[in-house]
Amino acid sequence: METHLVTLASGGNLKAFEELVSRYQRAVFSIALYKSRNYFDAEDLTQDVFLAAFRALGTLKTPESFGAWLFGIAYNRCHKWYRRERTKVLKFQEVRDRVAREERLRVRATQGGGAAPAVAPGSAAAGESHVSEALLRLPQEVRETLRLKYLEGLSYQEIEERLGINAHRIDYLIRKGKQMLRERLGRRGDLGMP
Amino acid sequence: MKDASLGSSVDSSALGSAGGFDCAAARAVLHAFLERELDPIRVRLLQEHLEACAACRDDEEDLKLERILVLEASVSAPRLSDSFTGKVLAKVEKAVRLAERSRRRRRLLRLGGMAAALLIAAGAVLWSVARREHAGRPPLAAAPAGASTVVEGNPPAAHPPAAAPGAPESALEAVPSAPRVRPPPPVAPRRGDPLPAYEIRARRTPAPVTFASFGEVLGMFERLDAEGIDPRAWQPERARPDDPCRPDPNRDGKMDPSDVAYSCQVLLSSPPPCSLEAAEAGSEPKTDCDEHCLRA
Ligand SMILES: [Zn+2]
Repeated sequence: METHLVTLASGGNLKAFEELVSRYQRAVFSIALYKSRNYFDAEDLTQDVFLAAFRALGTLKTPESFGAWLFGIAYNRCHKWYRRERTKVLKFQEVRDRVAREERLRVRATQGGGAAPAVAPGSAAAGESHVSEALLRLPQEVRETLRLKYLEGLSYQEIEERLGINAHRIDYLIRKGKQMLRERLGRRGDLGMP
Repeated sequence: MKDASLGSSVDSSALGSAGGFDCAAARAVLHAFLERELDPIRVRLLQEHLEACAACRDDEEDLKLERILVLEASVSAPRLSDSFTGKVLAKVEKAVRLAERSRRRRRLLRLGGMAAALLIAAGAVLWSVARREHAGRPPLAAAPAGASTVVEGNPPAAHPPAAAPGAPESALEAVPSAPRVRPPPPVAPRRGDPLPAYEIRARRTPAPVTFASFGEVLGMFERLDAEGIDPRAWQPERARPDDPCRPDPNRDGKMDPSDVAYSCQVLLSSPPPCSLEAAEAGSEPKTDCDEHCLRA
């Protein structure tokens, strides 16, 4: 059980911490990639997050909420990194956009002047780099709530201020969004939920 | 959310008979709890329920896993390499090793620093006492708080006028280890004069003192040395009143070997001003405490 692993790890048990790393690394990496928009910095950031978490484990009061706590460290570190490296991120974004544009032109040329393939709203070209198709296909309100909660790391209260909806509705939208994601991805077999 | 309204719909209806949560109440707030959006009171109630209820613990595990998978599914990320976990662990292990090494190094440094300070102080005692002997003045003066016995290898120049041999109120006194002889005629001291052998023995524990006292005596000798002043020629009346390295740590109005002996006593008997554990426990910058330790 995770709580038990957390308790062991905070006592310095590296084996237990390794279990936690392998369980959470992809999720933390997703946050880092969303923020940094490039693989290499995201990898470094992910490693930093786990190192910081290991050092601070003793301060975690409720081992049950390890996940949210770990993500909190990830959001913090990634925001700080972003503030420092904003220009770099924008450059990455620029390059990605240019590659995407050239790709579209190339496709259009090979298709003999037909219309360019539609760009999904909110996709990389619309500044939503690395956000998955599955998330982009959710209803706008659900998608935005999930994005703010899980990718930006905002609290319910901050989301409330940002979107002007109350905490009950936020909680509902998040549960709903999770359920929808599970259903869609589960059908494609991407999400091995029990 | 630190919002008391979350999950409040179940508060009145679903509280168990013992005032704790039943399963329905627990499941209503489980999600908010895992997002760290639940108030502390209900966190406590939920934790109590989870401890007792395996079914809700299963739900808890499912929700945790779901959050991980949702996050992974929200971003289109390439797969991490198989060696990634190993890389992270290598970093953590290295950090643990480094922390252990620096802990050991700091302990050594501190011990080394204390030893060096003690050597300097002991040297100063010998130097200073040599002056007394040559000048034909009382070799030692009483230290009000410090308590050491300076045992002379050579006969003292004269009896201390203020402290009769063996007097209990004398914290510091000369104990001859050889029969007394007539004092030699006063000779102007020179640097490099051979120094008689002395040893300092603690007789009483000193009164509580601050660590600054020892810093003062070290600073004093360092200053005199830097300015090329023979400690034996140092005159208290010429010291600046705001001199941070004011001599006379034992504050008996004299600068003499008792000051050094007193400072050695302080050094040997005082605990470090802050424990190493305390310095290391804080995850925040701990330079203040460290500097304090090193200064001492
Ligand atoms: Zn239950």
